[in-house]
Amino acid sequence: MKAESVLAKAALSQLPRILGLGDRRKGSRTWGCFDRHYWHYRLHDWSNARYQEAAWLMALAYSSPMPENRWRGLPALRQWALAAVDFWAKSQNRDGSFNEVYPRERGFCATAFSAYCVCETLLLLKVDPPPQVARTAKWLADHDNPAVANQRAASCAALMSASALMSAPRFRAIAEDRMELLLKDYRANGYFPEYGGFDIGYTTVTLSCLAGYLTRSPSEGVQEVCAQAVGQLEPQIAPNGQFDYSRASRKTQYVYPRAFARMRSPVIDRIAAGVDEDLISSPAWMDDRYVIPLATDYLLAALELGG
Amino acid sequence: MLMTSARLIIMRGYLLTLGRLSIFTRLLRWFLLKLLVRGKKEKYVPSARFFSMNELED
Repeated sequence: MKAESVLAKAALSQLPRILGLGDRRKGSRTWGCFDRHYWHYRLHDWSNARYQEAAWLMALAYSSPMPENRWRGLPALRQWALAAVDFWAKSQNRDGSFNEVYPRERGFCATAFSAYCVCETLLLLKVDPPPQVARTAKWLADHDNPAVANQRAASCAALMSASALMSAPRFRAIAEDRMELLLKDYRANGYFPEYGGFDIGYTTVTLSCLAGYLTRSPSEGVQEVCAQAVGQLEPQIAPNGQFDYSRASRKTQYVYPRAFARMRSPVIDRIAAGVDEDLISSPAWMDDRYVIPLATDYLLAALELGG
Repeated sequence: MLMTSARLIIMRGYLLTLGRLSIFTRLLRWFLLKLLVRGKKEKYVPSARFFSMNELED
């Protein structure tokens, strides 16, 4: 089976499970909330904003023309994606940030990644942004996390998408400046720093954000570093997609495939082989929290290969 | 009824103090069942509200 098809199936097979995480009852107070622990089990006193990233997966499934995709054009999917965006906007802190682990956390990670997904959803579905998007972009412009490259890369991608969505060149300029700092860090260390060390899995998260950034803003510097980092990872990933994560700084057990697909790296066939043989961490192996971004990246990788 | 920070603090306080005695945990369970399940038009069932293909036809 072709890599494109393997990755698309691995992503789309998780969609019914992810839809089950969401409150799909129109008129409910928590309509569009994808944190089932909050709206359904009522175990938490806050909703984790990262669950709202399901919006992008639904929007991609709604709009992607691929033979494996039986969800394309279903109106309910578009409606749920926009409901997820609405709930994201409702759960925003006053300063524009979002919470992931506890109320009023103002997490950089949750704000950067969820904003990136929301902006891409709205761009894909051609919907005007709610006012909360501008507030979040401003918060991201004012905050940074240099110790964690993947979060910094997500904030660059989010600012670039927000700039495209709102035709706001100011956010584009901030994204470009921050991206320069990220590339400088890479060139100085020879890797993208993750709490002071190298981590294969999180490097692929960073590269995925860089791939997203490149779709909005072609940049020779980003392209060059992407190619270099992908080349650096290639010898570390076995033909069946497995890799040694025991010495990585964050012990991440999965890889995001999008950048490998974009760079047409042979690693994409290795990941597909590992997924096909059920040997490596794929979306189906993830918990409810991680299945959403990983499934989204698998679908984006399939689309990169198809495009 | 959603969980709020105030409800969470009250419940934790109750369970970490009075909850040492099983009668109080049984009392809380009786109260929660009354509040969320018994006599409710839409009962709380944890294993419900997963996705169903029928929803795509609505």
